[in-house]
Amino acid sequence: MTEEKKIVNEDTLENRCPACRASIKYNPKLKKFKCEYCGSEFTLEEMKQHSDNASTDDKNKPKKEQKVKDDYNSYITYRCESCGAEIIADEQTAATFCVYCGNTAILKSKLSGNFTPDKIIPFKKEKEEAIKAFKGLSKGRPLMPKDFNSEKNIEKIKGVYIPFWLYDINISGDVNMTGNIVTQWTSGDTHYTKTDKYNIVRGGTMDYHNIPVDGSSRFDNDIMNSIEPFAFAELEDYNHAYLSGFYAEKYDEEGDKVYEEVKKRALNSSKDRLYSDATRYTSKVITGDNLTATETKKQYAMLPVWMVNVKYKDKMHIFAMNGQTGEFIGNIPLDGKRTLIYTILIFSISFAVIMIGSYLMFIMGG
Amino acid sequence: MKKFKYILLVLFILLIGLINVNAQTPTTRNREELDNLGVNKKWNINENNRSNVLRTKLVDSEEKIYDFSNVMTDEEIEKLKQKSIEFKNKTNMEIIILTDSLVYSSDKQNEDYAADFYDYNDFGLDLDKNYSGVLLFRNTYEEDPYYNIYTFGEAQLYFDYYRLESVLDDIYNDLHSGNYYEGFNNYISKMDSYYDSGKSSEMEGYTIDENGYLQAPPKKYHPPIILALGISSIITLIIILILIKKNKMIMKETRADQYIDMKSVKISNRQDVFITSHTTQHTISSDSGSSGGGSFHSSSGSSGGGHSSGGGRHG
Repeated sequence: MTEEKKIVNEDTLENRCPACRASIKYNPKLKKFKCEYCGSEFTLEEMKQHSDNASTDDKNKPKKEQKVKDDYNSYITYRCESCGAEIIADEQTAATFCVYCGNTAILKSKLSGNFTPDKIIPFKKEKEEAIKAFKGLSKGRPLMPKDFNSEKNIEKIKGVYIPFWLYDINISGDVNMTGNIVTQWTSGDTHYTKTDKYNIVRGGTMDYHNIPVDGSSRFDNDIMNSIEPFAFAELEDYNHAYLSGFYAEKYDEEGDKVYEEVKKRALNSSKDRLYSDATRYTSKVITGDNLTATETKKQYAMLPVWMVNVKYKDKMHIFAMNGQTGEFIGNIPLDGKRTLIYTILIFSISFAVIMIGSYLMFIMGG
Repeated sequence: MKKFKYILLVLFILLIGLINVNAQTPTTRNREELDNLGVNKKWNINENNRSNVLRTKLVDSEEKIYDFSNVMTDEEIEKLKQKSIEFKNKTNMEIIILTDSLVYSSDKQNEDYAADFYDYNDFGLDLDKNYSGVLLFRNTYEEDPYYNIYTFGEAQLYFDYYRLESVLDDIYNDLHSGNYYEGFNNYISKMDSYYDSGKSSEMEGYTIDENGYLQAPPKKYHPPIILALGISSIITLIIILILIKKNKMIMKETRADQYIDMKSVKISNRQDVFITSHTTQHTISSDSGSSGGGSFHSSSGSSGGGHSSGGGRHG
């Protein structure tokens, strides 16, 4: 390895500003790398170009290989002793606690194993926006404890790239149904009801793109479902430069376990689509299907999530914000006293309204 | 010969006298000669009812029994009159019997005449503002003629439709077979015993207004408490669940609708195979249920006053 090559490698690893060589970070709002020292801004392409130009020696080598090599050398893994999570960060972003369980007993070591996502959606929302969203939770939620959304309850807030599997699935086959067409008519003083029974088949094929399923066992799948959807049009080729300033986790779930979940979702939707295609029936019911799912593509992607750990009355509550769309989710505890007051209030008001209404109807209608 | 003529004359006079004894027609007076056409009650006499007043016989209200059809003897009439006066003294209501032969084509005409006869004579004038009383009118115009009982003022509260129907049934045989005295006697007795059993429970809450009309009791408001409790419980449950749902944002996703590639959807197999058909029919009944009773109302006479009646009978 030449002296020049070594410098280039370091540049790439630590994301140094191509202008002043100071450390540079990705700014989600600008969607650019911004140097805090000289104020220069670079797009990922410009950053890449710079390193590509610099690393003229490596022109013949396949790009991906180099990236993998970079990853191995530059990333630090933090293993949580409590929950077993494996958190990845670049050298500048030191982890001091586990982003999942909040444990501070984490072991620092060099990254080992395969960490080469295909795609990434970079963070678009900043930390402040996640805090703002948390503080805005009180809006339209009267059953929330009054001081729950105070900023001081936020214990930890971290931007984490969560490992996701994105599946492309083809569903094809038939759905069998039985349906009734009911016609009614009156002739003279006789009312007729005619029920025609049909056997219905709807069959066809349809494709699904990028159904996401999270590849982290520590991350609650329902939370991940709840911050969907991501706009996959903004999916970009993975470049580890995006990771600067954020954490990432290595996938620890893959294969049949995650695929089954995705398959179920695609089958449910397909069944409904074929079901609703039979339109002329008064009522119909699915009797069976022979739908089959075929995986056509699988990608490993890093998706941005703001993890917000909230401690309220000695209990931890996990909130998450979609780092791309700003969708903020989580389970807010119910305030017992408020719930009781609202129940009594709503009951009394509706009771009073019904009674007044019935009395008015009595007076008007006689 | 002269003697024979004399005897004939005597026989003729005797015959007339005999007839007179059997059929002493009630005395009537000419309304045209009197103030307000002889009407001493509060009714307004105007262009609309003037002809009704004029055709109504003006009688002495103290006679009580007006047998224009000559179906009873003076003796029978006198007995009934005494009973009527007793009834009035006891109940403060008139009880009147009227027989007459009047051309009619509908039962309503009988009712109108009977109401006019009561309204435009002085019946009940000394009793109360609504001239309470009952009147039985027997029209002897044709075979199997009409008879019915009419009630005025407070009498409407004592003798409701069902009680009148019962009396009409009880006297049917007597009237049909011409035993008028027995029938009328029975009528007064029955009315008397109904009076003794008090105001009809069917008429509870009803009142008689200024003009003698029955007024239904004001409908009572029954607050639908059980229903309101049920509905507001459901409303409360729904709203609280919606509010709780706002706090529980974490949910499992079981569908993938948003990831479907619409351009790729190809439905190539569409089969709709007819299996069976069956038709059911039912007859729509126009019966909207029983009225539940309690819907009595007065009819109006030409005087503007109200009255009620039984169903009437032919026979």
